[in-house]
This record gives sequence, structure tokens and C-alpha cells, in this order.
Amino acid sequence: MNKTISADRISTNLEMNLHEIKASLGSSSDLVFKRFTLEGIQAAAVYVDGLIDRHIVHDLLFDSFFSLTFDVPSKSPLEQIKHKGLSSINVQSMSTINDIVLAILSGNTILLLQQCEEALSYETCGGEVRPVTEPSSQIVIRGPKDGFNESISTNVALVRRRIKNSNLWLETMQVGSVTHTEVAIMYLNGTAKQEIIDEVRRRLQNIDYESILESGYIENLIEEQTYTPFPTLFNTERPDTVAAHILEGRIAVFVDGTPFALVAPTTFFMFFQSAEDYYHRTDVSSGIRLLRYISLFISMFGPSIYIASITFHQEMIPTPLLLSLASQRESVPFPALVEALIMEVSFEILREAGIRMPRAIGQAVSIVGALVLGQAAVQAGIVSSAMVIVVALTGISSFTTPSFNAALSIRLLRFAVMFCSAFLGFFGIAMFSILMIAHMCGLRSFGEPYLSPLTPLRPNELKDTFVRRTFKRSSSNRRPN
Amino acid sequence: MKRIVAILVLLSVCLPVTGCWNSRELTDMSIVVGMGIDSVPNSNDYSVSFQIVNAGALSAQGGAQVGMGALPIVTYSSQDNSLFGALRKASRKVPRRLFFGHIQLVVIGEEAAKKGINDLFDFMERSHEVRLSSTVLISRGTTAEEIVSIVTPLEKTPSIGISRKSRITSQVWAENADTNVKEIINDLVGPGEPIIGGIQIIGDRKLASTERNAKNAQPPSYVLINGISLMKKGKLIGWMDNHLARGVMWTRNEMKGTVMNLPCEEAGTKDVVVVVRSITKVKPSLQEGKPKFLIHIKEEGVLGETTCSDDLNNRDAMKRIQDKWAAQTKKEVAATITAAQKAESDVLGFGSFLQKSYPKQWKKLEKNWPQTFAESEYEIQVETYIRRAGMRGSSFKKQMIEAEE
Repeated sequence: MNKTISADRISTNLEMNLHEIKASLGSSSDLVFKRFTLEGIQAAAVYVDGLIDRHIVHDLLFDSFFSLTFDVPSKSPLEQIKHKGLSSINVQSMSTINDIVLAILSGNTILLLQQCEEALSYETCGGEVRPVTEPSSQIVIRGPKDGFNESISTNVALVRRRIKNSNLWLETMQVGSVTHTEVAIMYLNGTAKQEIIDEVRRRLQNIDYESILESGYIENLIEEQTYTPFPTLFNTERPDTVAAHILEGRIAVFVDGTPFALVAPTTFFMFFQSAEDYYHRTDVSSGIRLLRYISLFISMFGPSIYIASITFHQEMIPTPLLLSLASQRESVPFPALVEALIMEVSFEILREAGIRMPRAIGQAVSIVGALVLGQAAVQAGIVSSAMVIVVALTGISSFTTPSFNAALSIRLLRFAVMFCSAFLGFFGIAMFSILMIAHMCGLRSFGEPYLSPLTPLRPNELKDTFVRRTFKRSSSNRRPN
Repeated sequence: MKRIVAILVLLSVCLPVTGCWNSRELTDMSIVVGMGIDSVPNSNDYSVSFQIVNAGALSAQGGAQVGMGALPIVTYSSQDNSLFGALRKASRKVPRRLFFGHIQLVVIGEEAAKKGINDLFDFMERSHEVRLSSTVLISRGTTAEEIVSIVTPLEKTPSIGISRKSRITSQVWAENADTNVKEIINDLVGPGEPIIGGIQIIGDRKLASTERNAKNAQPPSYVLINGISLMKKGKLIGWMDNHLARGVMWTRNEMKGTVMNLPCEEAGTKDVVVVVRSITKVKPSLQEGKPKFLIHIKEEGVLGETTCSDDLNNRDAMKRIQDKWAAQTKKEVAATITAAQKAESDVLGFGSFLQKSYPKQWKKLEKNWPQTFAESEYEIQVETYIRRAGMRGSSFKKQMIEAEE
């Protein structure tokens, strides 16, 4: 704990208390002290400008405090204020400077009275928050367009609006010894497994880390295995996705300050399911889901299969195609692997540039990318046009994965497979796949096997893995007859 | 650590089971699409020629600078006592490693075929690179080398064009055999003789391998797929041409389609039937130790053309055409069998039918099979069905005649 914050109880001297609060926050200039008198008693309201909702504080000061009368002489003034005042605001009594400082930093307004050994903390947090807008990372055509924002209370409310059920329980805690970030876990009591809830809670409480700035920090700190290319926690900024997972018995973890909520336990196949799958017809959604798995295969193995077939297994390629490939490669001075690496790396650079650059110069990058790298490289004979096609197809395929962090893993693994295939051909690809699948089988997310329901095999759940289940047949929606 | 070791051990176990593989860049190898095998006169050597694709000249873009205006193929040949030796010897002439995984066409020179083809195929079956699905043809009147060096219009790689030509014409015209290495080896092993299509160069043979051949609208020379080989003990002894070749296709149940001209009563007029389906069943029987073969052909076809003035709406007219067609088929097949018997060459595969139906008796007949084949009796039954008459009923000629009347 920070030593400058005193754990002392507050004294009866108002000025001393205020001084101590000011001192423990380093006389920060955004700290506001409002002094006034209530029925002849010296009082002060303390809050941090910017963390509070100005309208609420205004109402609190003018409508509530200034119109107060202490009409019950038997009770202390503080007690009387606590039970009057604005009824919709959460009020708490506090008696140590430490608590008060934390409350102020959470956006509360503190009321201190002369001659009182307690202070009142009003929940007035507010201030500027980004409005609820369409999620930028997981886009749907049909389906709700609201996305989480950086405020945990908004995010929790967005899910609550979708599941109006008394069993939807929420637990809040603070994580991070410096940042004191608010973290909430939400689950459907009775549906979620108790031991997983306990495990999530335990791991969150055991986090011993100074700062939590994004849910990615939490993800890294509570996941089972650090050294794996695969994400073992699902994240989303869509309230409907979170609601769907909670209804399936999973646990959502919200972190204040980020629109990305985590979902545990996670399986590999969750990353390839879009919320939209459930909003369209079964056949259409199943087809699209299968297409996504095909894209997954292409984005992982596309360049490697190409490299393997033109450097190891030429007899497998139909003769006219081989002749066409040979004629394209005739002027390329590099081995197939180098050629593929050149194109793949430049594609990754383009993609990274597309994300990081200012929006205004976006067009310039796409022109340079498409013209210089695509056409000119082929014309100059540095790469063959077949390779450009392979890389482009691979790139586009990787965009079909609805979850960005899973796509990132595939992106990384693709390079590893390329080396394997250039070294041993299809045999290398097969060896890599064996290793990868063995690794994936060993992964767990909060005790849940990562590849479930494929292994361990759960045929019933498989109906909603590679294809989308029909609503009629699912037990929860079966009509009684 | 233990786990990593275990995984490495498991993976290294996989290493010996990889089969054959090798990393080869496309730019380091020459793709051989066609191979010609000639015998060298007065010696036991083979002269093997390779049709290699000049990939740079094929290119539509990019690599044009490599082979601007060059021909899409190059042919090299080399001589050695063995086929494999000749292949390796060719490395003295070819700047790149030869790659045989895509051989489309194997041409055997007529002289080499007369010496016998039995020794040619072991190499192809043994090699892991050469594919057994390559088309095999025998050159007629030219050497195999001349065939694999010809430049053809329409098809940039002549070997692919020739093997396709052989396949298509055997399907729609059926006067040649389209057989591959595997089928020929099967026939060589079995009691019958293999059938191999013939190929010849028509026109100016000197210009065949020049650019002019590909650039003229009327090429000075072209290749023609023609006839079926008549073999005896793996040696070429003659050719079955035109209708005789068609008869072979019928008897061997290889008939996919052909066109039959059937003359009408009025001179110069004919009905033309397009065969679209044909199934042949050969049923052998033994009578007092002498084999007899019942050949049953069931054909379906379409009337493709007619210059007769029959009333085709009349069922009897159609029946008459069917009968003419059946008689014609019977005649052609009989001529083929007679020719094969005369040559004592079982190109029709009768021996293998007999072997399957009478395995015990076959052992006795086997020794003297060519003579027994030449003496065996046969009976031909033909069923024909015309399914359609095309887009018209009776010919407009019939209307013309009616108008005159």
C-alpha cells in the first residue's frame, strides 16, 4: 500500500481532515473542496473534478444539502443527512482517511462535517464516457449494433438488459495494487458450474500485479498456460455474445476501462463462431460456419501447401497447371520459400500499417500496397503472380475469423508451417499439424479441454460446433406435447 | 523436458516412413512431357529423345525476356545401352535436371517396336517418377524422335496435344487405341497382345520441328493418329487400319462412339448413325477342346445425318436402319477377327476370357495359344437401337419429293 495514504481514523477537526486528504493526494489540482455551512455547522464536500457527474453533484449540493434542516435533535447531524438527501444515490459512512481517498478516486463525493468522526461518501461517479456505439472489431450485418464502452457499469447494464433474470449474479472486486481497477464477474447462478466460478474468483483475487489497464492484462494473469500461441480466453465487445455465453453457463469478466469483456472457460471453436450465426437461418449459418473453417485451413496452410507442392510434390500438380507455374517462376530468382516470405511479410507490414496509420493516409497505403507490391513485384520478376494469388487468398481468408486474437495466432503459426513445408514438404506440414494438435489437446481453459467438444468427444455439442444447431431441436426450446 | 524428448522421439520415428521426396525448385528442373524411344540400327542401343517444356517461352507475362520468340519445346536425345542410362546421359546436354513426373506421351519408334517392346517398360514401372498413365503410341513411317520434336499449333506443348488427340479420337471415331503404360504392361503379362495406337507425320517432315509449323494457318506438317498395332509376342508385325481398327475397339469393349455410314437403296444416299453407347460381351466356350467365342454387341445410337428419303416417322423405317447398322457392325467385327486370326495375333484379348472361364483347360491351350486362337470359331450377335433422330423427323428431302409430286 502507498504509505502516504494514512490509515488513520478521521478526526473531529474538519480543517485537519481536509488537509490530510489534500496531503495524501499530493495537492493534486483537480481535487475540489467545496466549503459551506449547514445549519451553522462547518461542512465540506470533496471530489475530483472529471470523475464525478456534475449534475448529480450539483443536485446533491444545492437541492439536498442546502435545504436540509436537522429536525431530530436526538440523532447526530451526519445520521440525519444520511437518511435524507437524494434518495437515489448510494451513501456510505466512512471513518478512515484511507477509505475516503479511495472513494474520492473512484468518483465519489465526500461530505465532511465539523465535529464528526465519520464522513459520508456519495456515489456520484460519472464524467465523460464514450457513448455506446457499434463494435469496431466484431461486426455483424444482422443483429444488435450496440457494443461495450469503457465504463464497467454501462457494460454490465448492457448484459443485464438482455437477461432479465434473478439468477444473473454479479460480483465486483478491485484488482491491481496501484490502479485499483474494478473487475466484475457475471454468471447465471445455477447454470454456471460452481467450481469454475470459484476458480475464476480465486484467480482474480490472487492477482498480484500493480496495474490493470485492459482485460488483456487479466487474460494473461489468469490463463493456465502462458507459452502457447493460442488464446485460452475469449474476448468480445458485443453484449449479445457475452449474454449468449453466460446463458451457456460460462462466466464473463468485465474490466473497468475497456470495452472488451472476457469469457471463461473458452474452447477453440468459440473463436470461429459469430453472434450472427444465430440470427440467420440454420442452413445459411451452417454453410457460413463451414466456410470459416475452410478459411481457417487456408489461412494457416495456404502458402505452405503451395510451397510443398511446387518444391516437393510436382507430380501431384496437373500438368497444364505445373507448366503454367513453371513459366511464371522462370524469372523468379528466389526459392519458393523466400518468395513466399517476401510476400507474406510485406502483406503483414501492409496490414499492420493499415491498423496503425492515421485514417487520412489510408488510401495512400492501399495504393502503394496494391500497385507496388502486387503488380510491380510481379512485373519485375521478383515474385510470381501465382504467389501473389496465394498470399492474397491467405490474407483474405484470415479476415473471416470473427475473433481478432485467434486470427493473430493463426497468422503467427502460418510462418512456422511455411518453414516446415519448405524443409520437409507435406511431411513437414503433417508433422507440424501433429505437434500443433497434440499441443491443443493439452490446453485447458479453466479446466475445460480446449478442443472440446471434438476431443473429448461430445456428439451432442458437436451439433453446434461446425454447423449451427436448429432451434427447434435444442432441448431448451422444445415444445411440450 | 521429458515430454519434449518424447515428442522428438515420436517424430523421428516418422522420418523413415516418408517415402521418396526431395526438395527441387521448379526453376532447377526441366519438365519432360514426352519421350521417344528409337532403336539404333545395327546395335542394341536405344536412342531416347525427350520433349522438354521451355517454360520461359510459355509464359504470358513476366518472364518473357527469358525466351522471347523461342519455341515452347526443346527436344534432346541421347543414346545408351539402357533406357535409364540414356536418361542420365542426357544430362550432358540439358542444363537442368530432367523431371519425368509429367510424361504425357511415350512414342515407340516403329523399328524399335518391330524388335520388341517387352524390354521397354520395366524402367517405367520401376521408376518412382514416371507415371504409368502416359499415353503410348508407335510411330509409323518415322522415328519416335521426329514425333517428339514436332511443333504443333493450337497446343503449345505437343505431347499434351497428341495424347489428348489420341484420347478424343478414340472416343468419337474409334479407329485407334488409346492405351497407357499400365494397360500395355497388363496385356503383355496376360495371354493376349497389347494394342497400341499408331502415329504418323503427314506433310513436310523437314519443317515439322520448326517455328513455321506453329505459325502457318495451314501447317506444313501435322501428326495423325492412325491405326492399331498388330503384335506377336511383343513384336510389331503389322497394323490394323480404319474399319479393322474399329473392329478391335468393338471386340475389346473399348467402343465409346463412332460414326457409321449405311448406304440406302438409292445409289449415293446413306443414313449416318452416331454410336453413343456400345457394350460388348465375349463369352467363351469349349467344344471338344476347341474354343468358341460368342461375341455379343449391344449398341445404342442416334441418327446423325441422312440423305435418303425414307419416312422416318415410320417405325419400320427406323428398324430397317437398325438392321443395316447391325449387319454392318457384324461385318466389320468379323473382318477384324479374321485378320487377327490370319496374323495369329490375339489383339482381341480372347485368351484372357478363356483363361478366366476355363482356368484348368487354359493351361493346356496356353502353350499353343496363337495357333489355337487362329483356328477357333466365333459367332457374332449384334443388337442395335436408334434412340433419337435428332432435331428433325423425316428429312426435308422427303418434303421436296412430295412437293414435286
